[in-house]
Amino acid sequence: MVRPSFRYSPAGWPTFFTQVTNSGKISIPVPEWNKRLQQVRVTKHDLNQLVMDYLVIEGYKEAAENFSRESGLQPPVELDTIEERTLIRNAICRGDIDEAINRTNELNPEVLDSNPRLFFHLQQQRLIEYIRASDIEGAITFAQTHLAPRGTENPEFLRELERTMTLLAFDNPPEDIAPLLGMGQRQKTANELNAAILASQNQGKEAKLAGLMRMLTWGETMLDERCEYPHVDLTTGLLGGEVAKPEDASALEP
Amino acid sequence: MPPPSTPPDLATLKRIRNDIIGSPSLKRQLLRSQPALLPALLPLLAQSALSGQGGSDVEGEGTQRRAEAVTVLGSLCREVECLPYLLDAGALSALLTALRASLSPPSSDPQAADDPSSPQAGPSTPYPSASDPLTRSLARALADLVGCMCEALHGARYGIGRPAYKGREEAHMALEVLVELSSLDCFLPLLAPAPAAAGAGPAAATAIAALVAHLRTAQETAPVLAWLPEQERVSAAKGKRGWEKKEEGGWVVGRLCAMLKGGDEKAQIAALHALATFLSQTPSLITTFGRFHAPIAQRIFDLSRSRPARVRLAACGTLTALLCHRPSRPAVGLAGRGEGETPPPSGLELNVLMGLQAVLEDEREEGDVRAGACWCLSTLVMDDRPRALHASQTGLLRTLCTLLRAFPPIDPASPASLDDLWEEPLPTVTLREACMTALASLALPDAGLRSQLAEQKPSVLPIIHASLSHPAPGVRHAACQVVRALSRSVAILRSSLVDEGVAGSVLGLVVREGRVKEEEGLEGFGLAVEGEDEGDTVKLELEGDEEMEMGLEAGAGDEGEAEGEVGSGTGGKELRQVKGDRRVLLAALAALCNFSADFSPVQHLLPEQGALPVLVRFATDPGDALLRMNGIWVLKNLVYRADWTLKKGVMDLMGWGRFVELCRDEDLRVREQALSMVRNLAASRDTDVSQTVRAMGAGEIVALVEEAMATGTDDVMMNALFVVVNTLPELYKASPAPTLHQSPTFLAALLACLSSPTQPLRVAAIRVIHALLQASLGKSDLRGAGIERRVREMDGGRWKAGLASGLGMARKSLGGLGEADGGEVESSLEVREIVKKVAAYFEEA
Repeated sequence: MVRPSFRYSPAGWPTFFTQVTNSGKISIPVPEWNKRLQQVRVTKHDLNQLVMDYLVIEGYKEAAENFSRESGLQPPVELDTIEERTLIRNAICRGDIDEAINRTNELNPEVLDSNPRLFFHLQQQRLIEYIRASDIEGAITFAQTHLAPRGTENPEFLRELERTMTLLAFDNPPEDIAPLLGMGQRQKTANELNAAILASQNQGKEAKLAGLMRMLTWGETMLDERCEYPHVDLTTGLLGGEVAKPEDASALEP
Repeated sequence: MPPPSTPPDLATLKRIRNDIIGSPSLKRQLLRSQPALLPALLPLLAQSALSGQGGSDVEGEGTQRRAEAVTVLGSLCREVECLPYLLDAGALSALLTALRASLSPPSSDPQAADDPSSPQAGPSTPYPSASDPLTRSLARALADLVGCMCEALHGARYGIGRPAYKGREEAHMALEVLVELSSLDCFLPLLAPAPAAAGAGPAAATAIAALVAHLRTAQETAPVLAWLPEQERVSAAKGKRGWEKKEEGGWVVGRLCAMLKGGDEKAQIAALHALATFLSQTPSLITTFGRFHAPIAQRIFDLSRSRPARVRLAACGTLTALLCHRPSRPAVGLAGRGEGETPPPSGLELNVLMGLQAVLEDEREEGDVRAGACWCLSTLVMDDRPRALHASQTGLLRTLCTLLRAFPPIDPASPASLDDLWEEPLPTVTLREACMTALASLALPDAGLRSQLAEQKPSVLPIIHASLSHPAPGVRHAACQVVRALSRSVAILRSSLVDEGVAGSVLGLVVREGRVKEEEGLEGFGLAVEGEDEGDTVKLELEGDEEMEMGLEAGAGDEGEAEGEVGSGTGGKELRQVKGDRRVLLAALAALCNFSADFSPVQHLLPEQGALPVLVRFATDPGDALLRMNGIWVLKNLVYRADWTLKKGVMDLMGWGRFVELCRDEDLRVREQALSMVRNLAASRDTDVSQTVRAMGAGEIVALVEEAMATGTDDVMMNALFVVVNTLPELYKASPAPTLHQSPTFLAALLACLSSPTQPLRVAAIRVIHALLQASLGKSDLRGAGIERRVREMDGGRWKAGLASGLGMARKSLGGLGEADGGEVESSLEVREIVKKVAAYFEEA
């Protein structure tokens, strides 16, 4: 049983078209919700910027080029750097750290020069690659010549260095250090370098869209405590109760 | 890698680049092992060196070589320990020349373009003509080089920084060259808004703004502020027509303000820092910001509330520079609000405080950003009671204490735990230092704030106490500063600090840090010792068992104990050793000054724990004036109201002859403290006075007083005059009797002191006259020197003085003196009382 309500909603506008459910929550029907959504003005320029930001951060160079051409929006960075970033990430993921360092220095020498922790992690990854290739002699030489000075310059890295060197002592490393040899470690290093390059280009670590999605989810969780309303289905982008139009449905197919 | 005899090729340059980037030790090693590298590298920066070699491929490779050479040089410029090599090789002039070449259209005469001193050389346009990234790299390299120069010369901008810097003299000379007009013409035009075609624009301008932000003194910033582009200089020289709109604050300030309007965060941050530098060095610029640049002030205000924390912080820094030159609002004494109640903060100040609070409270924020907020707060409240109170009211004192509690705990009793602190991440170490420095700055100007800090629940005193044992000298230094601030309150010193056992730890720190052997001629921030060891940036010369084992450093029960062997009690693990640091020693001595005062219940610890020989060694250190001053300050406090046995003990260790030398020290701060110590020695009891006069010699004391009066320094003269007051009856018992009262120079100086705007100096002067007259000495001489007339002037217009004190305004400008017929009437009650007595003595005749 629902009864009409003439109270004011928390947002402060009259709620003649809302109802209060038995659970004491305000119920907002789909038409009313849609009407309110339409009152919020988001410019096309803002939306385009969001899309461009996503394409740049996620490294879709070609798509960003096409989108820039079609929307007339200037990309926030030189698009060639997107490709460079992708190549650097790929180099780390296949274990070619020298290549990644070389390309990073070509792109912007300040990235590694001003970030000792990142530089240490890259050198640590190089050591891991030696160990992965069972080049024990190479690993020890590399650790002595390249990693030991990092430990002297920044004692905070010593523990991590010791942990990595432990890999040399085991054929089957124990659980706590085994992940260092995994692909996940390469991915972690690649992500760290990617974030540093993005920061050097005044870009965020992740696409703004991801932040907005999180904010949307958080907002809905907060609102759930007080309201019943149509939720956004993140897989379709539609409000609950809405049916995708045929052309929309085809667009959603993989 | 073989040393290059010819300019390195592209492949070599790339290899060097990849080797040195990210590795400070390899940079140092490279320059040490290959002295020919820089001389071979620097010519590559000049465009002319690579142009005209024929063939587009060759030219393309030449451009690449040039770019790589700039990258290698830029990387070397980021390491302050490479500075002496770079300056020695002429990196500064090479960078300036290369930048000039990138600004000018290609000259028909390459020599003229390459020579900054050439009259033909010079930008015909303020815009960079080079559109390549090379200009950006050159500008960044120059900014980094200037950053190293400023750090080497002035020390770290925040915190105590490195213990030593090499090449200070060279850095000083290079900075003088940098601010010459011909040098400024090479890089300041890059601040101009770039034409659309030029790609060097925003990034190069950001680098130049960062360069400006590195400057520290008015001598360095003034030429930059006054700089104009060449064309504007020419038109300015032709004469103004009066109605033309001038750019207030200078061309550079105008460009920096323009950079704030864009959306480039890095440019905004660099411009904000540069503006903060200008504002802190040029108070007159503030009025400009109030008028011409009011919209910019509003923009800075808006940026201080923007989303990116680094921009917010930079804007708070600029606003802090603005606020620090503005006097705080006067205290209000309204009915019901209490006399002298602190006025509320201005909107601007409140905004800065809230901004800093938000950054400090945000646990997700990076350590260096939160540390930046602490340094900004420290600057804002330094020596300013109202602002410190406002900060506390905003909740910043509580926030800093919360931050302090959030750090990993330090257990001074566990050597292994202390050893682990070596591996504490640098951002955490920096944040510890910044947090405690901000707390010290907050607590220093107000007793109430000191009490608030001491009474925090749960208490932060154990954390501060334990921080005295941290292996990082910056953390120990900051902890000493908090202890020093807290110990200014007698109640806190006697209760909380004594209960916590802090005094013993500070004393232990003094004794142990003092094992560093000092080098000559260095003050302020570090020792210029040569550190050639790879991986060990500074090698301090230490004596005997000079290194400290941290496990034994702190804890009241451990002080004074012999140091254990390294590695003992830690299950065989070898512990790292902490070296003493002169900056920490100075801070610990400053804190110890309060513990050695007569009201301190732990004063007895100093002689009991064998600190006197160490303190005497500091007080008589021939090579370090700051150490002498701090050492003698502690001893001076110790002998105040002490019995003669303690006084004699100290003087036996020091020797009266060496003490007299200190009273003649060329450093006036040392001389002031030494004379003050004479005052304290010759005080309390008549026997103490006679013993002191006998030991020093009446003639010597008189000579010291006359020499002190000749310095013209208020504090030195005041202490010298009080020496006369304390010793006067005894002084004249010597044979032959001194003739101080007849010395024309002394009497002239005495007369001048009576008119000094410094009230304590007038007190000292009138008390000397009173003491002389009381001893029936020199009445006619005083009269002849015009002192009687001056005294009558001071006394004569008593009703006018009352009037003046009622109005209260005229006196301020005259330093406490009201006007009378032909002279100033004394307005200080303390002085007037003695003036009346002195006038009575003169009338007795």
